[in-house]
Amino acid sequence: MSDDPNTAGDACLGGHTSAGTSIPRRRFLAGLGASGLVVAEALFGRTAAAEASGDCSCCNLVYCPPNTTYDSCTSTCHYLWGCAGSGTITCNCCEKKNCSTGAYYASAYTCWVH
Amino acid sequence: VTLFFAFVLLALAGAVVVLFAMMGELTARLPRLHVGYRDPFLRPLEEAQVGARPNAWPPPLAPIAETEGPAFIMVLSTACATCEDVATQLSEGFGNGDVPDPALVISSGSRRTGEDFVKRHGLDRMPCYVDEEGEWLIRSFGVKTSPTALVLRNGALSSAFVFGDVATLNREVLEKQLEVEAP
Repeated sequence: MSDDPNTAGDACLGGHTSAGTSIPRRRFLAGLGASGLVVAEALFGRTAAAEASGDCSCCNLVYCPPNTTYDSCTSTCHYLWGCAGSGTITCNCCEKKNCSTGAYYASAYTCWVH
Repeated sequence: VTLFFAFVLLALAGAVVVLFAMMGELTARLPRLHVGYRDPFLRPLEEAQVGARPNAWPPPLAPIAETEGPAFIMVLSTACATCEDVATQLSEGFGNGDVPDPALVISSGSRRTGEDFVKRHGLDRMPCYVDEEGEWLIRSFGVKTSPTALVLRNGALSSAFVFGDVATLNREVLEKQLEVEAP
């Protein structure tokens, strides 16, 4: 086995030893792939990410994305609780509920960083 | 016509190369985006009233009032996405046996929602209390945020932490609390 870490590494991945020519090719393909990803993200990423995360930070709301304002939610019958999320983020999660039945019908939240 | 098909074929071949290059780039980024990563944040909960002692204990939590050494309560909420992840971690097992199972308090807008949460995550094997609108937690300890770990001694709140990873909480807080008690 070669003592050269580059060729030794390649050998572990299937015996390719043409490090001299494969590195520029890899860089070109990596650049091409990264460019493709940037374009794909610009075209489709924003909607998909928003839908996947629900866009409600650390809140687990019945209506996500929120369908009311935070002030409106806290001005009537509601359940309000805080959640701690990644890093130093904290949010207040608000579920507006029917005073008599307790059924939730709207949600909102607000967040801040410590 | 031949030239047109040759051009289409070339474009398709180019598209295939770009697709494979994108797959390669995604694979290279996997370690940074690996599934299951959770932020092991752990910080003191400022709003908690350290030293507070509840006037009344719900029946499932009553033994904590009599516990001299450290006792642990985990506070989760149905309105908290981080709590869903913590509940999943708890359902997969708690600690390595060094730390006793904590009691759970589930803050929820309604009893039914809270009970559904407990059932969905199989948490009913632990002492568990569903606290409607978090009234008992707020009144007793001033706690209105989760996921939170409460450390109690002789029924009084000794410290409180928000956390995202049960293993980190065990290692950094709960095990150390028990070490202090050890002779």
